[in-house]
Amino acid sequence: MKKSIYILFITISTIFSSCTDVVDVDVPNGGARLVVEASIDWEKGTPGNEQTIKLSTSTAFFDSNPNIPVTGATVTVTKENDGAQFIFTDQNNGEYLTTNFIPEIGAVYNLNIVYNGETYIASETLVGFTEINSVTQEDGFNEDEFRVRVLFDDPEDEVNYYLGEFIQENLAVPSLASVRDEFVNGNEAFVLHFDEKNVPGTEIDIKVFGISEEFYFYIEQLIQQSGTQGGGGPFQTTPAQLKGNCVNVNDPSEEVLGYFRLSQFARTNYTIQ
Amino acid sequence: MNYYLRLFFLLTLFSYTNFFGQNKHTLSGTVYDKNSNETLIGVTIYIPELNAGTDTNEYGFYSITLPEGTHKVQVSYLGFTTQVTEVVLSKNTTKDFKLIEESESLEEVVIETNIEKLNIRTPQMSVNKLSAASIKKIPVVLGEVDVIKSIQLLPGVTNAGEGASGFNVRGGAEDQNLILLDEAIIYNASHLFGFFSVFNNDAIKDVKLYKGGIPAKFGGRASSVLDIRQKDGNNKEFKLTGGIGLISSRLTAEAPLFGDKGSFLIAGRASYANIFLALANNENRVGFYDLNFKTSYKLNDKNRLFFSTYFGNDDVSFENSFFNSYGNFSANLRWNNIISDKLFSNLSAIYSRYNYDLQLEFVGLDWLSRIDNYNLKYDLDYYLNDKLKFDFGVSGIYYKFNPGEIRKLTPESSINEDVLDQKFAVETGIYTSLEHKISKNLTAMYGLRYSYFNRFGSQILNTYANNLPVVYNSSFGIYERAEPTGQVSYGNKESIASFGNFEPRFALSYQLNEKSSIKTSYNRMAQYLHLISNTTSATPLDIWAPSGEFLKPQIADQYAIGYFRNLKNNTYNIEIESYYKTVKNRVDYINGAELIAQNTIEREILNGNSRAYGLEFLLRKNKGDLTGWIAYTLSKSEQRTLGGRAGGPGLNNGDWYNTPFDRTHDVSVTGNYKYNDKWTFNANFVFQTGRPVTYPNGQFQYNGLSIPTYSTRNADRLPSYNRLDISATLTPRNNKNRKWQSEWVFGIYNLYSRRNAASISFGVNNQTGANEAERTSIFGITPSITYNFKF
Repeated sequence: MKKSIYILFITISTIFSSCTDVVDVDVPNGGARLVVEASIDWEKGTPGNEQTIKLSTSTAFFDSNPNIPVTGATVTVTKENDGAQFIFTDQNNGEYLTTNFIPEIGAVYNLNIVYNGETYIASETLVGFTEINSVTQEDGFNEDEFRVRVLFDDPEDEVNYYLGEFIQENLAVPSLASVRDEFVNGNEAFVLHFDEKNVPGTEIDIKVFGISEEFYFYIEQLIQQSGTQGGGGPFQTTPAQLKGNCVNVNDPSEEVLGYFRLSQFARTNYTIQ
Repeated sequence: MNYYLRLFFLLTLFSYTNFFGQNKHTLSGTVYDKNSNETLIGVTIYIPELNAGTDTNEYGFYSITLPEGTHKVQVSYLGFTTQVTEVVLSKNTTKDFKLIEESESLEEVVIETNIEKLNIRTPQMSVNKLSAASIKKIPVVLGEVDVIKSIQLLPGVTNAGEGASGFNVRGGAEDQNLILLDEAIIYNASHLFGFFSVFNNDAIKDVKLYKGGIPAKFGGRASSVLDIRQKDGNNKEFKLTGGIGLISSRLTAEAPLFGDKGSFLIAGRASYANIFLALANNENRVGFYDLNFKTSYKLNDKNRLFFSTYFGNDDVSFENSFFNSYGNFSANLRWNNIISDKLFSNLSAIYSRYNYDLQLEFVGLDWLSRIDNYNLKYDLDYYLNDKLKFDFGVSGIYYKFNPGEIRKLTPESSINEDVLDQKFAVETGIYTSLEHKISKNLTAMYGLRYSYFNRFGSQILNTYANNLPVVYNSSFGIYERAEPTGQVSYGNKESIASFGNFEPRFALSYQLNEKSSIKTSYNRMAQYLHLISNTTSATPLDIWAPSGEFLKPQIADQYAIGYFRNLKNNTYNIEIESYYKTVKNRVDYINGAELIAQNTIEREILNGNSRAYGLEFLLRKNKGDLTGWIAYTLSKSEQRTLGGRAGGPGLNNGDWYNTPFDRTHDVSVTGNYKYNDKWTFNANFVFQTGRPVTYPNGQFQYNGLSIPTYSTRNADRLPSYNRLDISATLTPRNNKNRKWQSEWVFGIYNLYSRRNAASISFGVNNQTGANEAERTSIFGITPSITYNFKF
């Protein structure tokens, strides 16, 4: 919903001959920070035993090579209710892999990373997801542009949060959209995907994840600040530090980027007609 | 309180003691524009030999007590020919004056006088007045004459940039301005999200902006008061005024009613962006309109009634997607009663409303929100003697906030209908203010306002552990929303929270000589309403929230000192002022705060402080073929939000950070040159330090995206803003001999087409996947043409 309101304001601005161009800007450099991309994603109908956690460091904003993998770390995840431990082995490319992960909806998992003598921890619950009912399309904001609507049932007795991920060949990066059941609790909920590249013939790989409340607020802010919405303008919220759930046990003030999340998801694909 | 009361009585007594010396009589009356019988506000009545004077109030009334005898009374008003009249005062006398507009004066010899003399004498400082005529001369984008854009050329006034709504006064936020249109509170003064303002200049008589030293009769906002008065309407003859511009057209009709006892004015303005879009076969619609109506009726010499209303609306719709409509409505009934030649009173009953509707077709959601208020106020001006003038009065405002009603847009919609909690409050005020001429050179103003705010039910409110709706999560170093622990239900009219505040006001002027003075002032202001917005500039969808248990009233304290001087027989004025202002309980938002359709705002905010200080310089040239001003402001505006009881260091590590409207340097130059009877040229130049923004200090890879990282709030700045606008007004020579008066205004906004950054956004180019900084600039070089007429 927020995204729609932003688009409303952006459209207003464009009415008055506003123009955009790419400029050179000197930006500060906050130095390299550890990035934990620990997304445990369990596709419905699969065992979910294979899982990857990615570790890297942040770079200067305009660095053309932003992929600085972190190797040599020890990564383990423990399932709190039965003490099962999953060791993620170093693939020496920043990826850490396990093949014996056991996903369980509602179970609490603890992440432990030892790197450079420092220990980083995080704790999170695995969130389930119902099922994608259908995918529809409708006229978008521009001519020949279509909006894609992914519909699914929202359980009534709890507050639910969702993340939609849309991957298509004509977009260099995935498009993300987060929603919650604020106004549609217990009904058929939906996540929307709009992009001017949504033209007939476009094939879209669609995933919808069930996510936790904390992660929802994190990803919502992340999406806003990722700038891919063409943000900016007088109606943008002031960007702020994005704090995830990973902490250095010895130095809680260390800025650790990224998030440890566990989600069940459903996947489908759709071709725009 | 006792202290202030005692002070009042002492001073009153003190002034009575020298009251029984000499035979004195009161001269009182009303000052009108001779052409239209419009009352004139702020006209100077001055008796040179006594160095005594006063000025007319908001209804054109004046009263002055003078020794018996024959006096030369000078009546002067900027833009009008000064009148000097000999008045024989042997008893209390009523005398009305009718002034002639300078441009229409037949006499070539204009009597030169100290028009702004009283500026120097009265303790009132930090105030800027603009007449509708001078606003009209300032070049503006697309030729759309705009009060709000004009006041931004004054020292100490800025805004967040082109296309941003509102304005900022002396480092204050935009919700800290009390905007009054004929005393009715206007909650959103913007059309098209800030590109234009809601005030139709043709219907406006007078604009006064109080930036400091705010009189006790005003209350409710922390930073400033923008007091806009509508014209009463010509009561001599039927007049039609209008204009055709690129964005909108205007038409104003005014005429006498019931002989010369009454008058009315009706003014309409409508944009036709709609038409253009329709012609372009575009299904999108953008438009606004507004309607001003005012009528006055003179019951007798002592009593006059006024009724005025404003109605304005914006409609924006995009095919299959959005429909958004928002607007203000106000209505005001006033009764002026001249109780005696020394006592003037006004009773006002005012209703105002702000509402919006947002329909998101693709979500199936219809969201309605509104704020209603009813305001009753009674103000008296008591011109006790030549040394003392009292103002006193009471006011009460009843507010009803309806932050959101969520409805299904279509029966098939999956939206659950919902109503966010309605909120109710009453704000009352009682004040008294005394202007006291202590000696020939020293005049003081002592004022005190007591405001009381009561928020009441019925409403069900959440309770939180330790009464903390926001808690600090020390392991992640973030502020989080606390889970409600329970609910309390407040019954109908049951008080939820109440606040009372004494708001002292004080001002002093010391006249150094005939031409110059030093003034100083202090004011405390309490603000009980807050605009909940965490965007750089407020949007029409932002909600006004009343103070309550977790949202404390904002308390502002402002100190100001200034030097004022008239030069060359008032051809030039110089005003230099310095101020220091602090605001307690300025809210800021936790990182990632969600404010849209938020029922528990308290879980998204922390209470902080703000402070602002600055130096303002204004040089005005009032007379001659070339008029205009140069304004320069050097200022700082910061805020700090500590964790307080929520724990932790606070936002931004508890350090001070720039407010989004902090502008170190702000220069405006505006000039009007009358070349001949046919051509008048205008120009203005603006230079401002770029707006504070937060630039990324790194990036990281997440979910296939490159995400910028941010740290210190508002530590960076956009490039500086500068712009030159020009315009030329052509008055055809044949105007002189006909009733139909016309003029053409040709304008060019942003003459050298500087690409001023309205914003710079950082992100991934979703085609290349590389990071980039993208600048958005709004108006490049923008020509305009407007045709105005009058008959």
